[in-house]
Amino acid sequence: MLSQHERHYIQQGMAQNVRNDGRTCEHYRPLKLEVGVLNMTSGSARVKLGGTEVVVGVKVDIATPSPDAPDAGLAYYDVEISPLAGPEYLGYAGSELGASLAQRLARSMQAGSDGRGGAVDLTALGIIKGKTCWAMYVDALVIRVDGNVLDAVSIAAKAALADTKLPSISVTEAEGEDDEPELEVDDDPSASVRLETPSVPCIVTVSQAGRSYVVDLCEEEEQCVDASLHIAVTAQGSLRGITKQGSSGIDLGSLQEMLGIAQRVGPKLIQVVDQHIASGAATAQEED
Amino acid sequence: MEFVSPEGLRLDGRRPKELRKLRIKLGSLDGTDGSAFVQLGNTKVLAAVFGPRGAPTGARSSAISCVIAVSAISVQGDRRSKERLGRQATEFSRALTNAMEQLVPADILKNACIDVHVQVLQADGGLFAACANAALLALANAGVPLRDICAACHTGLLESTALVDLSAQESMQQAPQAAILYECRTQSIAIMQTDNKMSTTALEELLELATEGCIALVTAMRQALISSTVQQLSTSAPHASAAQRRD
Amino acid sequence: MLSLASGSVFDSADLVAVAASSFDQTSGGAPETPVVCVGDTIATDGQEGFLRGHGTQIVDGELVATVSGAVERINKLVSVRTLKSRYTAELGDVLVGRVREISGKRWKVDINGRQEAVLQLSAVNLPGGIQRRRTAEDELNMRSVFQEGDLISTEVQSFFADGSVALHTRSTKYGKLKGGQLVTVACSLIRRQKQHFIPLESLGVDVILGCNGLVWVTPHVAGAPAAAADQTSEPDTDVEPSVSAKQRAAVCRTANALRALGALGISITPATIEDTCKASIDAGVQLHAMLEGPFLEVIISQETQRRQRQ
Repeated sequence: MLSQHERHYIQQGMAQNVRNDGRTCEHYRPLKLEVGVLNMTSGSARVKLGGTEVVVGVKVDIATPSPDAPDAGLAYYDVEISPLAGPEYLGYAGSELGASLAQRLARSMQAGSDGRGGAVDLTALGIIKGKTCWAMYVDALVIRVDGNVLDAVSIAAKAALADTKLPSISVTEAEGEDDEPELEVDDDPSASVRLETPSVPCIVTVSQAGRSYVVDLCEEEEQCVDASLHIAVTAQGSLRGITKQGSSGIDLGSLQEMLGIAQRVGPKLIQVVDQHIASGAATAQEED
Repeated sequence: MEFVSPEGLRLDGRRPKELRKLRIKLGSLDGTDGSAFVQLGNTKVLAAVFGPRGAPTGARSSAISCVIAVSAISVQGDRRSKERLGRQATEFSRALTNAMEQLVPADILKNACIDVHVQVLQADGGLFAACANAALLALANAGVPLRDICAACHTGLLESTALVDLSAQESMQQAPQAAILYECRTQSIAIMQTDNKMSTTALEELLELATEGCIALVTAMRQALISSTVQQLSTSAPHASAAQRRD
Repeated sequence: MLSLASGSVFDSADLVAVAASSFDQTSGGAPETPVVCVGDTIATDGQEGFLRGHGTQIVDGELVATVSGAVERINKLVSVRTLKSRYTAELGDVLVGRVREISGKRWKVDINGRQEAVLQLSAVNLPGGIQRRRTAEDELNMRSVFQEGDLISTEVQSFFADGSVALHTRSTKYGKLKGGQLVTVACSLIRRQKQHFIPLESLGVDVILGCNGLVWVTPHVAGAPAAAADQTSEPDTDVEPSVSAKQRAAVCRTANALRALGALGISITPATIEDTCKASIDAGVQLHAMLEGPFLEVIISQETQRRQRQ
């Protein structure tokens, strides 16, 4: 909850390009990222974007491929708000927010009906065409809400996917016509195969407040903007999906400016994320 | 599968009376009045306390409310196990709420409400003991008065050996199991949960082992609380001379 | 040992740990104040007739701690003070609160504390003189004085029988807050002192240090002691004060200094605020970078040096 006076002060700050914490409008808050934080998953990551904190775990399971894409695997995305975020996120409020975040995340990662063209090439999850594949479950848990949860979730998902390793599977062909091929899953972690993730985007949320366009809003700032665009951008700067939020309309000129900002800010953000992923193997297990 | 080898070693190499590696971290969650992270082996839980604050206008049945959440990332593989654990969590949070109502002095609970929220981050057995420990540590971290320092521990009887702090694999057998929440000063059991049928001798053996386990855990919890308090004392030391100079 | 400058993942508990280990090097490590944990027996040394204070209970004639904290003995009163705790109001406390709802002849105010707080219509200054009777029209116009969401500076006047707090704004220095930003820190970092309205001319800001941990920062207004932006003796035209970019930067620097001190668990006083801001200017740190590892280390080493000098 904010007073109209605080709202005015914040909006004026955005217009002057000096936000309450000293950032400019195109500045992200300090990002902290660790991968491999949940050792019982196939891949995981923990992200802190300012005060917003998200943990993502990726799990894989053997499944049957969809008839439309017999050589591809399956991917499911879900987001949950933890009660740790506060009593106000229990019950309906939390589940509603979680559902809308999951929908936006899934859309940014979506593959075509043949399993190709998505954030992750789902054919890499195929095992036996038409019969067996990997189903990948990407679950996000939001631990603390301090604005811009969607971007934080997308960064954590990207990092968790980069951390994901698929168990190595050897397929022995069926001997007779009626026999099934034999699958053997190799339990040895060192034999597992890392998932390729060059096309996984990050969602950059750009919001409009008067004539200012701002990224990475903290919780207070979210109450001061008119409308937002959630833009999924890849490392190359191409757009993977756009959704709009907020009651105000966005005119075409503003839309173009906001897309331009996302294409400018997105690749830089992904660069920072990739650097963190490269250096961010969890030290939690080795501490004390 | 052999759960206890002839040499007396369990599947993960522990001895029967050996607890898994314990890690406690207090006050790491911003935006809460108190928080505690507890890790026992692969089981990780994080608890947060909101309050005490004035009672809200809506009616509430109890001044303390405890919620234990199990998320999709917490359980391995099968998604049905998340639902099963979720149901157990709801049941256990009621027992934990009752215990906390006894532990927090009445004058604190009057006209106030306290929310204790526990999130299971990773489940590998001994789940509810970890949740109880985290919840109590979080209350202490928030400065909520408690009548006694307590700890919870989970035990089971496998292959005629009483084992402490069962992993998920060990708990999945239909063996007798007992988990307790133990109050150290009064030396009494505040909560007791048993699974599967067992003889009274077996129960006694498990309770005795669980008590030992709780006492060991309390020592570690106490250390963590004191260390955290000492650190906060150190950083917030008053600036007597500096203030005088400015005034 | 975690290193702040390396930017490795850290949270507030780690920050306090790093700060504490640095400060302990100056004091030789052992805390001077005795610390107890929940369930510990507190030594009364055969003291006759000790009085039981906060954070303690009597069990079988012994004094036992109910919280983890520092033991305090004042004459015969023995209590345990917790370091981090939800704010508990005391008479005369100056606070910053947020109006949550209006009902009957009162505003319900959230003071971020253990108790509920209420500001009665009779406890504010209304246009037209201090002593006039409140009319039915006043009751209907309450929203024009303070509405839901407004931040106000106020003082604890008294307590109701159920323990809830009665506030008042019956002084021209109290009232609605505009033209600045709010920073929230742990209330234990703000000590009760004579002055809570603090002009920091060298920094170009005025600061209100609420005992409840809510701190309000505005650009410095020369002359008058720091006060609420509007006086309730004038009709409220809802004119927003204009803030120049330079003033805004000054407010931001102070606000970030408060956030940084809050994160490290260091007491917040005019001295520590000024020193932190000056250090950021000297180090040439950009405003937003004041909350990042390298500058936090600067604050820690500055504070360590100050303690060494004492």
